[in-house]
Amino acid sequence: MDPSNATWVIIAVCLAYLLVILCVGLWSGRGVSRSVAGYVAADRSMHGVLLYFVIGAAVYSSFAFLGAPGWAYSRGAAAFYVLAFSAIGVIPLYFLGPRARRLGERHGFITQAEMLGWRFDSRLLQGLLALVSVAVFVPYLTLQMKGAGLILETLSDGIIPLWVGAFLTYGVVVTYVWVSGVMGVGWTNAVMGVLMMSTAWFLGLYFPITLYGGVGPMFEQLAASGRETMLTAPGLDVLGRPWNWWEFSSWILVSAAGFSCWPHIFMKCFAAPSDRHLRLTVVMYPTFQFMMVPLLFVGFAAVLAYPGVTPADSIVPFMLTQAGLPVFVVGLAAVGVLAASMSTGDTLLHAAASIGIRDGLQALGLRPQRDATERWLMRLTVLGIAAVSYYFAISSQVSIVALLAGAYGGVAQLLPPLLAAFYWPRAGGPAVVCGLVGGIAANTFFLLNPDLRPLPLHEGIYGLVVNASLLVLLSLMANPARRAASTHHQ
Amino acid sequence: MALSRHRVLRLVAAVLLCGAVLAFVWPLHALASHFHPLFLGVPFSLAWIVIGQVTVFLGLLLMFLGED
Repeated sequence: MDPSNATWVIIAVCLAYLLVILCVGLWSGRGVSRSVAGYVAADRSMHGVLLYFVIGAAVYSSFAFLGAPGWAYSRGAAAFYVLAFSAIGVIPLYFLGPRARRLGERHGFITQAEMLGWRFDSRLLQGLLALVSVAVFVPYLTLQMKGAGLILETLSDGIIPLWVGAFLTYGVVVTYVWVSGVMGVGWTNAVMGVLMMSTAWFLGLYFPITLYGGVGPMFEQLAASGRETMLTAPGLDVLGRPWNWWEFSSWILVSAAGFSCWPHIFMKCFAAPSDRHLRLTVVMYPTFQFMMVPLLFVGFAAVLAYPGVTPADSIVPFMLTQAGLPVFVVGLAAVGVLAASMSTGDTLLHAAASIGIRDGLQALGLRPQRDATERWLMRLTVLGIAAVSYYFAISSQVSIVALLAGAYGGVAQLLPPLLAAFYWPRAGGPAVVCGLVGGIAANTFFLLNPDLRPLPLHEGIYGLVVNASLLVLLSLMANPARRAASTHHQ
Repeated sequence: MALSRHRVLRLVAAVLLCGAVLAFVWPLHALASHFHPLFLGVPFSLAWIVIGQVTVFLGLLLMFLGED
């Protein structure tokens, strides 16, 4: 098959995939009510299989297919931190999730900010969380759009430019999120999750076997080439020197602390029909994350076969376009990357609109009286946030990756308030707000001034220390009347 | 007072989960950070992480089975 025919086959595969996803997304919203609870929390009836895929596919974005192999390619075992933090990051959700779900069922909560705002009697906290969530989601969503546009542009030999690719993929996403809400997200993520796992395992075994004769021989040849250092933790830093245990360990802990706290992940607890369903979903979740292992194999396979590719994140597109692979392998990889981008993007879009309207307007005292009005406002916000993110994806030169890197440490700052909400009745609203602001400020300060860190730890650790200290000290200092007010919710 | 079956399961689960967290970071992780022996073809350092993932899965499963 000549190259032009191969390109058209790849384009046809991608378009067919988008059509299937659109049909699944439009079909899936029929079983829930046309209320806000139906649109945002699936009437609290989302069963375990859908929850499993919603949470799993939402976590693994286009970074899983592009960034993680790039890390393995350039930094070796440093990429193991991704496996480690996602394994332990889910543990808090097992304990916090069912408690949040019960509160949601009792009081009608559909977002994390709404629950925390109620628990701590603080509209300021609710508004602050809404603002931070939307501010973090937009660059995250922009990154997903760019990833989808770039992979289509690269694999179509420029026939589908980035702006058309991003428009096509996210046109599909906006349509099914608009029509079907969280059920659209759920069912499409189930399809995309299966595609992602299949693609990851296929590529992760295909490259080592075709290039080296197997996974074992690949690692043996890597070690024989004098690269043993990059095959053992903590791997290499960005300059290719041995990384240190301080940063490796603290990156794992901060990322794990933030994992369960992401608002778009946490709010799915409100969609679970029972504690048992939610707990079972969390128990099964590690089976989803095993797909990251073969994706790291892809990066390791490229070290000897394709040396010197920069930037490292482009190693997967490079392998797909330059290595003379069979067209079905390229088509499968394209669908896998699109699925990873879209399955995160749809959850972000849906969560940003839900949180922005429910929490943003409630904090301002402007929440609509009619349920239907609120639902329409959420849908319009889906469109607005998608438009803003699309604008940044096709025109902005701002370093979104840099913005996002800071966001992870920031999201980890939500863990102390969540723990305090459920396990420390004495914690008060003003203390939580001060802790959160202090934690985010410390995180941002050390992110911008890494040389001022006393120890080479992830900046999120410093944020967590400031955050937890302020929360505890100010709660202990609060007057008894305020403490009584803050504990009556328990 | 004898521990009930549920409490024993939850206790074992807590030990497994705490152990997995500690195993991923320094200093425990440093003890296992070697290329040899290869485990199912992968370096022992990577196998250590995968074993940790399996431990978390087992820990959560036992915690689930130990719920009243």
